[in-house]
Amino acid sequence: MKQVVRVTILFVLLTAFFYLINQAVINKVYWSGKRLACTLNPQFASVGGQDRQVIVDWKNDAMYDVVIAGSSHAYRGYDPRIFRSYGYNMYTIGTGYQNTLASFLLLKNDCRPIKNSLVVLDVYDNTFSSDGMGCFSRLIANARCEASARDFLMHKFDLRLLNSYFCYVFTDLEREESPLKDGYISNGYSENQDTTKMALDSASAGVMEHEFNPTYITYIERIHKLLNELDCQLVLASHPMMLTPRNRAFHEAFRSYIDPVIQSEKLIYIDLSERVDFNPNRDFMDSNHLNQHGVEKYNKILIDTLHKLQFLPVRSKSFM
Amino acid sequence: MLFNSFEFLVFFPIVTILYFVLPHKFRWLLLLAASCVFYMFFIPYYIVILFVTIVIDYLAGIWIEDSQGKRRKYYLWGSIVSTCLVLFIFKYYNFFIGNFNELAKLIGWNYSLDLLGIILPIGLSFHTFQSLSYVVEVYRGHQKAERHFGIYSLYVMFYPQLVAGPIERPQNILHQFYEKHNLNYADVSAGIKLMIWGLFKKVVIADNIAEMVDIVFAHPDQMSWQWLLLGSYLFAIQIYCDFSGYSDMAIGAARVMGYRLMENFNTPYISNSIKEFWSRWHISLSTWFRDYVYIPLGGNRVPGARKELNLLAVFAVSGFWHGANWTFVVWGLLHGFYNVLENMMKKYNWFRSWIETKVSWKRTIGAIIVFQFVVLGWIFFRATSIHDAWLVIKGILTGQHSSWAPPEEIMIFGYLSLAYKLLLVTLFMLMDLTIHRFTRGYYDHRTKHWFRLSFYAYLAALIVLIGYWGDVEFIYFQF
Repeated sequence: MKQVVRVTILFVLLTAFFYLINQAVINKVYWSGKRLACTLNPQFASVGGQDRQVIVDWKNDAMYDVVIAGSSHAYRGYDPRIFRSYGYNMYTIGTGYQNTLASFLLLKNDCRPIKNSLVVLDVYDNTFSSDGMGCFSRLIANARCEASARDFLMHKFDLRLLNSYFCYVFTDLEREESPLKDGYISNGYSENQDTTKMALDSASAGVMEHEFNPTYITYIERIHKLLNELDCQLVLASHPMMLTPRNRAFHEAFRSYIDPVIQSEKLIYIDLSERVDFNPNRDFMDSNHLNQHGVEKYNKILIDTLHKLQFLPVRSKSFM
Repeated sequence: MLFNSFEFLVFFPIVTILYFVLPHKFRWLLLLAASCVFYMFFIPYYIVILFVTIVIDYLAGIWIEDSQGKRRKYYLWGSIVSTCLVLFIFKYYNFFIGNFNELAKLIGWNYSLDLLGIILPIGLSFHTFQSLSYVVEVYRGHQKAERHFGIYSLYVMFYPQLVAGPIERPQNILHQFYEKHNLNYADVSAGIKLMIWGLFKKVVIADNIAEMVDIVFAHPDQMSWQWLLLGSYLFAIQIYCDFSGYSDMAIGAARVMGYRLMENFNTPYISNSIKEFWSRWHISLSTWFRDYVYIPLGGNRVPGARKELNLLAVFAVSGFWHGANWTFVVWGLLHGFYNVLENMMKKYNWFRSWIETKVSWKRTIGAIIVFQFVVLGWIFFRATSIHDAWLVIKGILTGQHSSWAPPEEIMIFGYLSLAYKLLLVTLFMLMDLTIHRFTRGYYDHRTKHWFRLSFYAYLAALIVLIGYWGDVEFIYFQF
């Protein structure tokens, strides 16, 4: 018995020692501009790109009137220049595949201080169904500080995220590996001018059943509570989507899943996903994302709606 | 629950600690409960199917033992038919109906039967065969019928080998559930070593090359012959690491608690003949077919042509056991044909002395040749249809789109990543035999304890660091 315990402890310590030594080496050695870690294991997140820029560009001394959180919908669908033309300082903390848990942790740890801001949480089916492992991995590797990286790890323990955490510890964050997304403007926003030739009935194949993760629903409640403590207003929003049968089916499933929470939490949900006045071949870059033309249209509608709901005070109106 | 999951990392130590803490009389109950939890991680209500087969064969065992004369045979066949019926419904029904419908369409008969919308219960083929071996052994009088329903259930459900073997024999495992296993350093150490090596093979080797193999086999008509060949070799290594990795983990997990399961793999790719390959690859299945199909068909006692025909039939059934697809049948038949050919060639002294040689360089050349034949079989095993398999073979033989440049999808990872993976695989193949023996304690007397401890600690660190983590199932789970 004693021997088993003694050798087990020794084994664990030795494993940890070898692990840390190897982590240090593969995160310090670069080859063709990439850390060796990324070559040895594609699951290691690169440093830089959208995820890093969102953290770096956030200014602690700026007062943001509007903060947008969510996945790629958030960083591709809300243009700070349009908000600025209405007199609002807006920032989007959107990152690829960001779920509500990641949004919660970003709002709690990385994007502070926010006070009296309006927080728009962009939601759609994927926000509640993706496992968010890639998103977490990138956010840990690019975290603002060690405490933030650790908090991400503690909320979703996984060996991939443990690797990302030590990547954060050992990597030189100033040495970016991932290029910034084409069209990055500022305040977390990436512009895209592409249009799609996709027909409305083209993406109908392969409609799958969505598996929503109930944990992520609870994080809507936690975001709501956190924002209440900060005197911030929470609004849920869905931007227009291409009205393919697949998207419609997903959205219907999503609504039936999220509606009870919206009612119980008494949340405001601005659902513009089924707007018919968005042209599939002019306003979208793909079946899921708006292009710049669509963003301009959508942001105008959203701001007008927020005015009507009196969540935003009317300021200068000098829209392009 | 997958062996390569975080859940198992928590599950295994808890079950093991509880196992040694509990009094001996309650341990079977703990193992049974743990096995149920382990199984129910997949599709919970499928445990009912498992329960049905357990009840059928439990009762059949007792009835066979308690009866005389022809009745014993009736019970045996009743048990075999009903157990196989479950397997048939879940695994083969759609295959037969699909083929029937195709045939009906071909002859212009406007009639088609509906397919069942069911998912194959995980490990069904494995525990079906384990149950069958029990009733046959009771019938033969080699095993007493198990009267304790809980222990019998544990025999079928023992979690380390429940979903992908090794397919155990009742004589080897049943009595072990009655024996008291104390916490023993030698067993814990041997078990953990096997688990680490098995996990390394799965997550570091198999899962890291899986993506490349998938890309090559997804569009065989667009790949260069060089990459079709490389993809086929890589699949041979992937399936070996995947399945033998699972077996090592299963044997190791059982060994930690003092249970000894049979060896399932013994470095098959060093085989100098096809017969030797089958004595080293999936040993528990090949011996199952030998004991329960080949020998009852007459074995080596029947005249030449009949014996070879039996061999072909056994391998065809073995292929079909793997999956309800013609590709598996062809794979099985191909190996049956290899065996028949090898038997015929044994008439020539030069061939016999070649395959029985102990000379290293001759064995190496022999192993390389046998490996080519095995890889040819793996192409059918991996391809989704006979047509796709033919595209791969045709592409290789005709020198299709000759180019060493990697396909675009593989280039996403970069040359360095590709070179690293190929180096990893090459190193593994060169060291497989040595490490296989090392993990089984062959060199313990020649190596220092601190060296062995450091070696496994380093492997464990590499597993976490460069292992591919995610919901990657074991290939044999689908069977």
